[in-house]
Amino acid sequence: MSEKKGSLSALVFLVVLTSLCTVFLSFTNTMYQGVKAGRQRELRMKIWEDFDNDIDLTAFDREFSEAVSVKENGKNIYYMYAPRHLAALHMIGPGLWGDIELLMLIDYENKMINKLYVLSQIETPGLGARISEQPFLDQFSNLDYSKTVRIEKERSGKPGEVDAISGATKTSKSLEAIINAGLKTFASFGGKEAKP
Amino acid sequence: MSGNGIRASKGFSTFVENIWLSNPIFVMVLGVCSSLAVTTKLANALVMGISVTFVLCISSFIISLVRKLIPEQVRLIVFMLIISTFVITVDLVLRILVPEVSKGLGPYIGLIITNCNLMGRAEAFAIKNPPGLSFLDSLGTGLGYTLVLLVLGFLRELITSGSLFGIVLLRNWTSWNLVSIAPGAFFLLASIIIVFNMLKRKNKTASVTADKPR
Repeated sequence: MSEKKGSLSALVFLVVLTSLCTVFLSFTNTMYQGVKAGRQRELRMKIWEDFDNDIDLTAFDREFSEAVSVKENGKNIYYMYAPRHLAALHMIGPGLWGDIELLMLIDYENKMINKLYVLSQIETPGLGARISEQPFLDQFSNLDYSKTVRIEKERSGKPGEVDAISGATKTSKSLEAIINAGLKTFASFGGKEAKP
Repeated sequence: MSGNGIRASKGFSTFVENIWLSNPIFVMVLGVCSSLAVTTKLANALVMGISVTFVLCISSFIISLVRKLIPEQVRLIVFMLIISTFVITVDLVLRILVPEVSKGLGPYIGLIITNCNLMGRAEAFAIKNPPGLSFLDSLGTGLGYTLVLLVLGFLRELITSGSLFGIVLLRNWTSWNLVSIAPGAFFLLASIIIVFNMLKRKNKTASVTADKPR
């Protein structure tokens, strides 16, 4: 009898404790989701500005969802702005030490990369981490991607080539792979209008 | 309480012993996996150390607080529930406050749940001792763990890239990439343990010599 009572009280104790932990974690998660949504909105604003639009804070969410179609593929998100044949590719892929997060703006009609941003990376300081530096990123402005993008130690003068960072071969190759995979997936959409 | 009184107290001796003489990595060799995995950069080592210390302290304190209510047969599940709640909380807080470092630590913040030090301190100390003492015991263990992580992170980042906290200190540094991979870190940790044990032995010999009657 006392053994049964002991088991029952243990069960009650576990149910109460689990409930308390769940409530506490739900509260923490709600806070995190709020911050996450805010960060996503900031990214959309950045994209909207890069599509040459002004931001009207009161109407931004409606304007963005009406004008920009969004497609997702795994961790990657593709924003297509049909009126100007522009797209923003938000891509995440593995680097040497961890994920590299990129935002790339392209003119998909002329097959040109307009701009590349490195949103986050944890590559080796002084070597691979230099992919975030402006002189390296500037090489991607007005870069032809009609074939593939190649990050080379020695350029041969063909279109789509960018100088690699010396001593950071693995990071350069990872970056190249993320960009080309993103462009390939985007091309597979066939430029079809995705629903917002 | 006077200075000598504090030093003689059980809490203080437990705290100091856990940092140095019973260091979780150097002496007990617990939590070695995470110490090798996250110490490629000093910033990652620091955040990991603080996270483990926080989870250790708060979970030990709470376990100790409710120790008389915890049914004996389900105590391990209770420890796991309390520890995992705070590990998930730390994971979410890091994602909010330091998203880049959180990404750098990858799955290792979530894997704090499996760090032997946490279950070890709960089972060996917190369940049998009052909250204040359990807190000090865990604080000592956490700081001891953080200390080793910082030493490893300092050496690995400096040797690998000539930088600390991402700031390049040694220009034209020839990186020694062996240290950046886990096997290299394993050898580095072993070398540090050798130095630690030599220092410990030297101190012991010196104290024995001093205690001998003349």
